[in-house]
Amino acid sequence: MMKKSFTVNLTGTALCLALGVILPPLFHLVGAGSTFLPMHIPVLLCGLLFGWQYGAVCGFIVPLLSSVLTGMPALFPVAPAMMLELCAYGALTGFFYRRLRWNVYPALLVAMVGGRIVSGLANAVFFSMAQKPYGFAAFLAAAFVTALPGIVIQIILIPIIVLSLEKAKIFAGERV
Amino acid sequence: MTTENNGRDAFSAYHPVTLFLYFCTVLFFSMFFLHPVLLAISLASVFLYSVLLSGRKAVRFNLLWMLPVTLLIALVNPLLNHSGATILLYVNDNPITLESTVFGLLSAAAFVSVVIGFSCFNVVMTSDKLMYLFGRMIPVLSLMFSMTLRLVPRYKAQIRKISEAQKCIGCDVSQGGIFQRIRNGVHIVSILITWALENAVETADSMKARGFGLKGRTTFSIYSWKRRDKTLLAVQLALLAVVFAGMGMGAFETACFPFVRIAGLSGKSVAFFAAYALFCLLPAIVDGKEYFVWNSLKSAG
Amino acid sequence: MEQLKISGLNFTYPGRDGKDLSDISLTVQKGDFILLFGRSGCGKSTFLKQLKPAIAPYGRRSGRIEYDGTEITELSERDQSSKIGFVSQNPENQIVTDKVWHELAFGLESLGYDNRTIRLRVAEMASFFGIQDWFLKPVNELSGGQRQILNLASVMVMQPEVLLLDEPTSQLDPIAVSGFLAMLRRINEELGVTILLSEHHLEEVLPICSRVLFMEGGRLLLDVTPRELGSCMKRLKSEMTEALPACVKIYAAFSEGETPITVREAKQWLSTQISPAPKSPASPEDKPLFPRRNVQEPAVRLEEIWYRYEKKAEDIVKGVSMEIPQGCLYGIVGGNGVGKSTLLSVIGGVNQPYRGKVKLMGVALPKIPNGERYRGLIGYLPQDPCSLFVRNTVGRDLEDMAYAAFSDRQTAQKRMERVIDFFHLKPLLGRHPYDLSGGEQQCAALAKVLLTDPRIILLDEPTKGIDAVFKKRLSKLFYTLKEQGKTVILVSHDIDFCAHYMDFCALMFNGEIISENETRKFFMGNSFYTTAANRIARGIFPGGLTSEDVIEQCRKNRIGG
Ligand SMILES: Nc1ncnc2c1ncn2[C@@H]1O[C@H](COP(=O)(O)OP(=O)(O)OP(=O)(O)O)[C@@H](O)[C@H]1O
Ligand SMILES: Nc1ncnc2c1ncn2[C@@H]1O[C@H](COP(=O)(O)OP(=O)(O)OP(=O)(O)O)[C@@H](O)[C@H]1O
Ligand SMILES: [Mg+2]
Ligand SMILES: [Mg+2]
Repeated sequence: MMKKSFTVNLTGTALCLALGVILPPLFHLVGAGSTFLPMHIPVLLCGLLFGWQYGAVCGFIVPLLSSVLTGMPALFPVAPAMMLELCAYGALTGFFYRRLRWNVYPALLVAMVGGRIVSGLANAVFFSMAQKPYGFAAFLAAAFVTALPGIVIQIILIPIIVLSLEKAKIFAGERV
Repeated sequence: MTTENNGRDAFSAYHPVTLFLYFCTVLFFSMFFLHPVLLAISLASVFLYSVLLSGRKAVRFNLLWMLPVTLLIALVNPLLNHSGATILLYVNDNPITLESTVFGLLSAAAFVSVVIGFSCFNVVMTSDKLMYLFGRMIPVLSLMFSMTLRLVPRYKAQIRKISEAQKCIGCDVSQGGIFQRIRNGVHIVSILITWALENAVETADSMKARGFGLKGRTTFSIYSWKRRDKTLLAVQLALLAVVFAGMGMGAFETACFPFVRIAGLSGKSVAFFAAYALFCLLPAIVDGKEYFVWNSLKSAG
Repeated sequence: MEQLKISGLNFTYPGRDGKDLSDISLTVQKGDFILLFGRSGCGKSTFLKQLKPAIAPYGRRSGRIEYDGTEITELSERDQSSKIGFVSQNPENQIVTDKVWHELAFGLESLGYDNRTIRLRVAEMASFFGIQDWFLKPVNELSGGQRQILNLASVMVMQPEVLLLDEPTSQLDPIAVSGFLAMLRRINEELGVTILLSEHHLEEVLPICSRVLFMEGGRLLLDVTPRELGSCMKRLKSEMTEALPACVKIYAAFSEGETPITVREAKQWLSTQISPAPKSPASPEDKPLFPRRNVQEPAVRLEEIWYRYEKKAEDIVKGVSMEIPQGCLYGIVGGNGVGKSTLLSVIGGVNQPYRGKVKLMGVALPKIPNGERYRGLIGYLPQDPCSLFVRNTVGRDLEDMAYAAFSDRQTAQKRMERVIDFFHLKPLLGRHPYDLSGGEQQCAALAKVLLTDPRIILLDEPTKGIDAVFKKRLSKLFYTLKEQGKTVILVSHDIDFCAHYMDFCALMFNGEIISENETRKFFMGNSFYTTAANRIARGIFPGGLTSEDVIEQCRKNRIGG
């Protein structure tokens, strides 16, 4: 794996951020909104392509930015939990794939599980702050069952994108 | 170099720090203090400011949307929340308490002030100003925000272009069964991602060509501290000192349960409230002064 | 004073055999304005990027490039970024931030200047370039021309000594082009900045540059003054002679030596050649008119079309009515943002007009089912050909399209082979669509559009970023299509191209078709929207529209013996 320059990483992260804002309304337009988790895709990509720091930052900011620019998700109590969840995705994929040089698939899977654990904890905290009860069953349902199509799509789509990008060396040829 | 000014409002042309301080204070006090006098001041002044900012549109919005919401909150709260000691009447065997009614009214007022306050915030605190405030702390993050704000409209336009082009070669996203549509949608997204990455390489080149990555990068801003900004900030801080002193002395204390207990008015507390009112009305005062100066200049000339 | 000294420069991209730049030697004096031209893919961009190490592509390089006596890679990074400025082809991709003021300050921020200095320099540049009015605007509200000027200005604030520009005007309309070039001329003359510029369209650049370099296959073949270019190209017998401006072409057809380089000079020369007015001034009617085939249904018939993008937005297309006969080549010209692309998208059925009717081959558009519409009736090439590509090789992309269009595999295969032959796409089939040069991309996209064998072909600026030789090939393609009875409607900024090859032309302005006529008559009446050859010949040979016309007329009148 080639090391990339700071400039390229920064540009790439901005790109992923913008995608994270653009994709959700697009999917909603087609009628395949929440099940496909469109906001997760660029965050996972960002971690995989540019490293854990960038993934973490991207994940942390996307919900906030999207909430400010498009009004979705609601700033409180949904956005804070999502920020932590996506931050975990970005950081974990980046860490396992770029740092520890795992294969894409295990890195992606571990990150997906890890992110959902973070999401569960965060939701429990924030919803209790917002005085809405948040059950464990509801969490499981939201995290794994309704999101199943999204998870499947991500597991299929993301490695293809990442591998083909690395093969095509789109960001290669950089001076470090 | 001037900052943007939407013509009607002179206050929003002041330095971002002073503006931010204003909004923070007003939102903070309306959110966390339920004292009726305090709330009345906040509500009146944000209402006034929203009218100064957006004119008749604001009046219509406030009356059409905020009034019903206020009433709803004020009415629903006593129906759902039955704590409190003073029972006024029973509805379906459920007690309606005085405390809960008062609490409903006060929190409705607080809610409305916060909403209107935020709507003013959105108009006044443009992305440039926010970036200036927070970019000082983490410059790279603020640059990234700026880059993202540049890309979002660009990608939107590109998605439109791609979907139009796909339509002309017979892959219409809005046509066909659900699976066909999803397939086409995924196509478009993957085209977009490839396109975006391809173009990002050139953008990164453009950044490097202009020396990005050199040591000692600075952050430029179009905002500068003028004398009037400093004066305003000094006034704000002086007023805030008084208000916080009042807060420390418990002048704004309010509790609804189990009994309604509201800090009463005395000579001292009137001064605190006056300071708060003056603070909240700063935009109106600034705008009003501007208006009179203009008028007198016009009539003189 | 020597500013840049390049000696024996060779460069090869990784994984390619043969050199992409071979043995280039050149000295650049301070204050030179150098034009670099050559066929698409001859290595112009590669060469320019070598002069700016921060963005130089990976590959094997040998030879020396000296900047003021020091090897360029040994310059400090700070000097490199501030002294050598670079502006590239796509204005969009160069803009980094969301606000005009921030973009202007970007380079100075990188160099670590303090707020006061930046404020001063930015203000100065903004007034030099006339940016004050849109200084606080977000970038996405600017027009294409404004964006490119912003790019130039945001490089100029760093006070570079050398400016490298890689086809900076390829996306702009003729008016924006002259505005941009006027800026460059001022920078060169008033600030003494050395400029190296690559360009396909020489008409406007030639008069303002001081040297011209001609490249072919990675070699530097010519290094001459603009006035010598005509005769030198003639001696080289290069096919790129095609690209020379009309004034040079006309002069070089008769005389040797230094050519005129502006319309004014060419006109003066021409009038000295024929002292009395020519005996038989050819009238426009000399050439046969294109026969209007009124017998058939028109291919496209628009009845009072009105279109806008949003309900509350402005009208973009305002009551356009037109009739385009079958089997003709129809060109639409007009400035940036007048609604040409929008009109084309309405004809193509991508956008529906809210008032008025579109009839294709006599049938109202909404009545044509979608399957039929884009499978043999309409072929539409959008302004950005990249938006058509779906797969990661050209071959796979064509296959996808062919199999979708024809249910029968064998027909699909056959059709594909024919199209690939027609466009000479064989060597490109394995490449990624985004890696192709501008001309190749247009070609691949056009091939994809023509796969379904449509009867009405709508093309949005198919000639942008394409070299002269390629344009000629494209025109042959159009004639073939016309012979097959197809109708081609194209939108273009390239007046020369329309004047040469279209049967009918129309001028669009502010959402309306202002005038429409048979090409010859159409351009004869205009004084600005017409070819340079026409401007040269005006008042001398009333019938001259293209440089070939003028040359022929001259022959008739025995100019130059
Ligand atoms: N990154 C790259 N890797 C490999 N080959 C490349 C790369 N970039 C360009 N080339 C090849 O190098 C040659 C010169 O390309 P270059 O972009 O310099 O041409 P150009 O003269 O600028 O053309 P145009 O007028 O179309 O811009 C071409 O054959 C091109 O295919
Ligand atoms: N998708 C869109 N949404 C809203 N407005 C648009 C859209 N596309 C174009 N416009 C506006 O419509 C007008 C005409 O645009 P159009 O692209 O048709 O111009 P054009 O004549 O093709 O210009 P160019 O020569 O630059 O291609 C412009 O003012 C543009 O801002
Ligand atoms: Mg090039
Ligand atoms: Mg257009």
